[in-house]
Amino acid sequence: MSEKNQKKGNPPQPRVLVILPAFNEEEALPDVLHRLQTRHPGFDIVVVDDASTDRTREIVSAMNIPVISLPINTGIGGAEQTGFLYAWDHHYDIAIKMDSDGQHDPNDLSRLLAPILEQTADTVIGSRFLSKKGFQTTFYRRIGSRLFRFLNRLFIGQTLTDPTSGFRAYNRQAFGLLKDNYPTDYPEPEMYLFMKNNSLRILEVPVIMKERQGGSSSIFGWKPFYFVLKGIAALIIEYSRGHHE
Amino acid sequence: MNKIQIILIASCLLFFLLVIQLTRKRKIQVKYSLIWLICSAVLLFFSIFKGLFDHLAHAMGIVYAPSLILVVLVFLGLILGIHLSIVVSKISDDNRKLIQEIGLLKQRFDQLTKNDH
Repeated sequence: MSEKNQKKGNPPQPRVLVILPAFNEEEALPDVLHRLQTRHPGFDIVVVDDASTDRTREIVSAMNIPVISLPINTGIGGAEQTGFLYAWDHHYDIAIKMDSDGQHDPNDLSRLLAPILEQTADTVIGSRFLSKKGFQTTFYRRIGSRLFRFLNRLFIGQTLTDPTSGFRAYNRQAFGLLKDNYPTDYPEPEMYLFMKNNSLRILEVPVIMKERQGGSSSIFGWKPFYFVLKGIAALIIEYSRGHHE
Repeated sequence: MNKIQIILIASCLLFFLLVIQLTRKRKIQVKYSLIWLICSAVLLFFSIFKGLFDHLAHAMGIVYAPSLILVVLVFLGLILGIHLSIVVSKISDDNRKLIQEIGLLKQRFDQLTKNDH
């Protein structure tokens, strides 16, 4: 559609897709979808149901919103990547990834989009630490965030205040790259290095996050240690891969 | 440092680099390279601190220290083997689910196209 418009010379209206990966989010999801639709009626939505065992799929279907139901749980990364593939196939210009548990506020979407529309960034991260307002996350995650912030500065040379934030916007170039190559596990600290290696511009904007409304966090128990270890290994390996052409 | 120790350290490093290279070329996922990296780090550690190994053997009541090497290697091999069995089981489970899902989708698709005609 947008390509046709460009050929005619009309000012192209960018097509925006909001991707909501969901795993057992029947409690929070209806409200999130409702607020999203009221606030941004022009945006398309797709929910990627990551093999939920509750009524996530039925609830989204009933709202006449496209839902991709994965038969096997692939983790948040795999679900998000499915959204990128969908966005790519359906010729979207911009893809936004939002959590479906109500942590992310649809009111922040415009701020997230602005740098992409102005073409000053290829990827925009919504950072809860730039604003210092709202829910500032749990203790363990804050330590993890600190650590990866330091590592990012070391490896990328850019300070990302909230590298574990899941509130992000991508232009077509960015999600086109990630659709083929995306870390399947959460979190994905090496992703920003991978993007930098592919000459993509990353920018952070302040957002306000709320505490999750339902469900449970995807990281708990011994997992943080594994993620930190894996994250560091992944960063080093991605760093050694160097700049891609 | 004697000859065998140098050979040991060199082969451990070589193995370590092989794993890293395979991961860089995306032949192994970072997730699965971790266990190999840890194993080779353990082996490297003991080939550098050879004395520690003798002490450990002694403390465990093993008279002939090199037999502890075999014990450690067998143990590491077992852990890796079990780890891979878990991974393979998960993959074959997932694969079966995918096959079934595609079969069901095909049936639904056929039915839909039949209704169209």
